[in-house]
Order: sequence, then C-alpha cells, then structure tokens
Amino acid sequence: MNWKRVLVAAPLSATLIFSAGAGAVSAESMEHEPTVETAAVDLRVDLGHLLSEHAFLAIETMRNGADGSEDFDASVAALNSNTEDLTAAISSVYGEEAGQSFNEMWSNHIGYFVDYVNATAEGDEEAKQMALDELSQYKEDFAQFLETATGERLEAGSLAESLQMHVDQLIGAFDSYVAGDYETAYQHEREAINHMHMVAKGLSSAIVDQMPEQFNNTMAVTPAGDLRANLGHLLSEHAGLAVIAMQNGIDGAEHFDASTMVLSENTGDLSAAIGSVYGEEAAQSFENMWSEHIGYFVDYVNATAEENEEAKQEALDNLSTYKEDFSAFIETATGGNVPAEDLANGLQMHVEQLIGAFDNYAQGNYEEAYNQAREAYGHMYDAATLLSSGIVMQNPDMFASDMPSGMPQTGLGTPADDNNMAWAWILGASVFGLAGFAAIRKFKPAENQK
Amino acid sequence: MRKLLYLLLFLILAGCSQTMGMQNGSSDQMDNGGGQEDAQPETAESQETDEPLETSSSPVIEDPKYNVIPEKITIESIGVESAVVPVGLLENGEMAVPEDFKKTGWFDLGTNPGNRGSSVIAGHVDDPTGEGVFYNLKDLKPGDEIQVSGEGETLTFEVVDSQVFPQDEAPIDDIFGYTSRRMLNLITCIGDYDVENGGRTERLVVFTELVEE
Repeated sequence: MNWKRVLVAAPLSATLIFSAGAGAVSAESMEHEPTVETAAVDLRVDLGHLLSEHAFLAIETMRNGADGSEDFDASVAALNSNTEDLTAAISSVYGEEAGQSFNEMWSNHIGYFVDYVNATAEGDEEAKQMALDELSQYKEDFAQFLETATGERLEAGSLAESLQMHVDQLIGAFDSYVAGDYETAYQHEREAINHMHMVAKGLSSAIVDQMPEQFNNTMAVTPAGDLRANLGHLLSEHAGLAVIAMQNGIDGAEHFDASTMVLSENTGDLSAAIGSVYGEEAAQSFENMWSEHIGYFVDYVNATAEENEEAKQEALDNLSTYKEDFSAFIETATGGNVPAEDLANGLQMHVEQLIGAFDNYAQGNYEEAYNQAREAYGHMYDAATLLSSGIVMQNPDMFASDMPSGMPQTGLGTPADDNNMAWAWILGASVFGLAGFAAIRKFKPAENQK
Repeated sequence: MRKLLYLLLFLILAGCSQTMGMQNGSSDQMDNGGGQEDAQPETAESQETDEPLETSSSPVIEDPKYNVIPEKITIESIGVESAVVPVGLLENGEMAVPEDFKKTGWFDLGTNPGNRGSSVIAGHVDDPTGEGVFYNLKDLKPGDEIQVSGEGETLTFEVVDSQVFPQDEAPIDDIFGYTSRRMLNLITCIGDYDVENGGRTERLVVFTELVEE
C-alpha cells in the first residue's frame, strides 16, 4: 500500500485560517467545497456504467438466445461493443497490453455464457456443466489478472468470490427466465446490475490508491461521489429496464408484467434517493411525476401496437409537457442549481433515445434499436452528473467530506507517576473536553445505518 | 438440495397465500376461524401436481449484509472489554475520541463495522491514572480476534496487519477510506510523549478484517 500519501491542501488552508486568528472557524471553510466531478469519481462512474451495462446486456442477450428471438444477433453486437468500451477503459489505466489481455478474458467469459444458453436450449446437462466449469476457471484467471494489475490492492480470493457472484446472478437470471419465473428473473437482473456498481466502487478505489497522482489525489468514494454514482446507477437502470419493458410490450411477451414491476421498483429507489436529500414529500412528488412519464411511454407502445398515429402523437405531446414540468420541479427543488433548460434538453434526448430504440425495434431494425438503447443507457450518466452536481452545490454541508484531516489524540497522558507533567494533563484534558463538546456532526447517508 | 428447499418454500408460500385467500373469503360466514388450519396442507398438496421444470428458478443472490452499530468491543487476547461510543470530527478536522479513557470511540461519519469499507474505532493508550483501554493494542498479532457487538448481534474480526505512523504522516485515506474489504481499523497512540503538543508522537493502527460466516 501507499502509506506515504499526505493531505497537503486541507491542513494548509487550516493553518491560514487559524493564523487569521479570529474566534470559531467553521469546518467547511477548512475544506474544499465538495464536488461530484473529480478524476477518481469519473473513473468509478465510468466503470459502473460499462460494467453494469455488461450485466444488463448479457442478461438480455441470454434471454434472446433462449427465445431464439430475431434481435439476438443485435444484442450480441451491443454486448461486444460494450466489451470494446470496457477494454478502452482498462487500457487507459493499465496500457494497451493489459487491455488486450482483459479483452481476451472478458470475451471468453461471454462465450461461456453463450455455451450455457445453447446447452440449455439443447437440454444438454453435460454441456451446461462444462460451461459452468469454464466460467469457474475464468473466474480464477481473471481474479489473478486483476490482483496483479492492481498491485495486490484487490485480493484474488475475494475477487474470485465476487466474480462467482456475477456468474451466479447471470445464470440465476437466465435459469429463472427459462423456468418461467419472470419475477425472480428480473430481480436477479436488478441485483446483477447493483453488484457491478459495487465492483466498480471497489475496483476504482483500488486503482486510485495505486496511482493517486493520475487521479489528482482525489478519492472515488466520497459522499458527493456516492450521490452521483447512485443516481447514475438508478437512472441508467431505468433507461435499460424501460427499453426492455417497451420491447416486451410490443411483443406481448409473457414477462411484460415482471419487467414493468422492476421498473416501478427502480422508480421507488430513485424517489428514495431524492427523498434522502429533500424529504418524504418531495420524494412523493418525484415518484408521481416519474411514474407519469413511464405511463406516457406505455401509451406510446400501446398506440404503436394499435397502429394509432393520433394516440402516438398524444403520448409524445404528453412527454413534451412532462419534460417542462419535471424540469421546473427539479429547478425549484435545487434552488436553481439544476437549470430547468439544461435538464429539459437532457430529458428530450432521453425521450428521443427511448422512442428511437423502440421504433427501430418495432420495425425490425434491431441493430439501430440496440445502438439507441446503449445511447440511452449511457446518457443517463450525464443526467446523473447534472442532477448530483446541482444537489451537492445546493447542499455542500450535507455532502462535505466525511474523512478526518488528522489522527485522533488517543494518548493525552504521561505516565501517571510523572508529577511534573500533571499541569499539562489538566490543561490538555480541559482543552480536549471543550473541543470534544464542539465536535461537528455531518451528514451520514442513511444506508450506513442499520 | 437447495433447489428442493426452495421448491418446498414455494409450496408453503403458495399454500399460505391460498389459505389467506380462503380466510378472507370465509370471514363473513365464520366468527372463529376454527377450520382454517386444516385447509393449509390440502392446498399445498394440490400444488404438487405442477409439472416439474427442466430448469429451475433460483433465489436472488445478494451481497451478504453484516452490519452493526457498535456498542461493545471485546479483545480477549489483550483483555479488552469496553463500551463503544460514537464520535465525529473535532473542529480542527481530527477524529474525536471519547472523554472517558476506558471507553473506545467509533468514527460514525465512516461506515459501520461489517460493511465494506473502513470502520474505525479509537481508544486511549493511557491516562493520568494509568492504562487506557487500548494500552495493550501493540501486542495484537495477525490472527487475533476482535468481537464487536451491537443490538444483540456480534461480528468477529481478525487482525491482518499492524503499522506505526508518525502522527502527521498517517495515510488517512487508507485508514478511513473505502475498500471492498470489510475492515475494522483500531487506533491508539504510541511513541514518546511530546510535551509541546501534549500527546504522543506516533499512532498505532491495527488493521482487522471481518471473518465471514
């Protein structure tokens, strides 16, 4: 580990303020304003985006494989282009050669999942087991690769465990789907996506710890970074699940209800995230508006199924009105820190991407459908940055760094028999007591509490 | 075996929900639900005729959650048994410590013990009257166990490393920052007494990791 890191900026500014000498000093003035956009948080969010998108696309592809559906090839292509993006991200940190090794391993593991899907279709238990064995071997190799890459900041043992969880979640989602237990299948999918964001959190922390200078000595996990990552996770999941629910809607698929159910759960989680900052009432308003816009997408799908152009236009008009209302709501909530115009533009793109992905799917242009789906998924990370940035600017105290700038004073004392030092004791203890009395409490995310 | 258990669970749940349906439906006619319990095995049985599926559904897999708000810390190997109180930051940005030299302080702006990340508990090495709660922390060796409990739950951690840092050069990010491991880091003072600054010049950090069941 790099034990040599020293925080320079905070103690320096503290010294300046103390030398000015006047009375009480607020903790915030000693620190930089919290921000969601740091090099380390960027890395965490980029990895979370691509890794979770991998899980999402892999699950959809496996379902398409099981159904033998027409968009199978297009979903495979989307999954592969995600692998290329991930490879670029790994290369940017560890160089071309490591990127290439990564690409090979990663592509192989996708192949084993495909083997599993094919074996299931053929009812070939032996081949299924072989695919699982291959995945198990991959897990060990890949964990070793990451342990070496991160300079042993990530342990192969716990990495392997984490990769096994990824494998189990994808296989679980697939098996449940094939067994017709769609609710469980979609719950697996949400957990698989969630898991990848956890992997991104750990991996980015390890990389940043390994090469702090490349990330301007910033940290991947901060209260502000957590907000951005959490919103990115939930918003992109919304986009992904919405794409699938719309596909299921036009297909009249049996698992349509299950897909809309998890979409609603996602809405609940998003509302809770808003509520953690703005309170219960705001969460409710958010949830109502958000559910409303999902309803308009459903209207659009139904109108498409009925080939009712008028109803389609009505759904689009409603989405347009919603866009303005929702942006105004957020601008007001954030005290102008998220400008309505910026958000409205972002929402317009979101609508166009989802409608585009859907129209292309309905018309059988699957490749373009998945291109737009990927755009929609990725775009949500911009929306998350815009939103989280405004929220943090509005509430800097709530998202102030939760790291101490110094170690605790855990030994005020001289040995008890040293009488000469007794005065220092009394003085020290009383200063200490006063300081303790004035200890500052800060925002602590609810999730940390039990 | 797990699949069987899950199937069984499903059957029981299905049985329950049907029983509940019956309860609702029959509540108008019956004041006392005397015959309800009989209905349960019957409905469960009727589910068994469902045809077996080639591929079975599996329970959703989540990251296991271990997490306590610490109230007590026990380190048998060095005879520590102490209350844990939550502490935050001092105005100068340092981690605060409990006033009571026999108690330990959990840094509650950080994460809870058991979560992924670094949870931190600090304790005094000594006080004017003698040994503080963490006086013997320096004697801990890799493999020694630490128990932390709160709200009736106890988690066990195992020492993985011990390091001594000059007070101003301790790697705060590594001691307090996020890691995918479930760490509990214990801090106390060590080294010479610095008269000018009224404290010891070095910090001992014992890194411990959750022992998962």
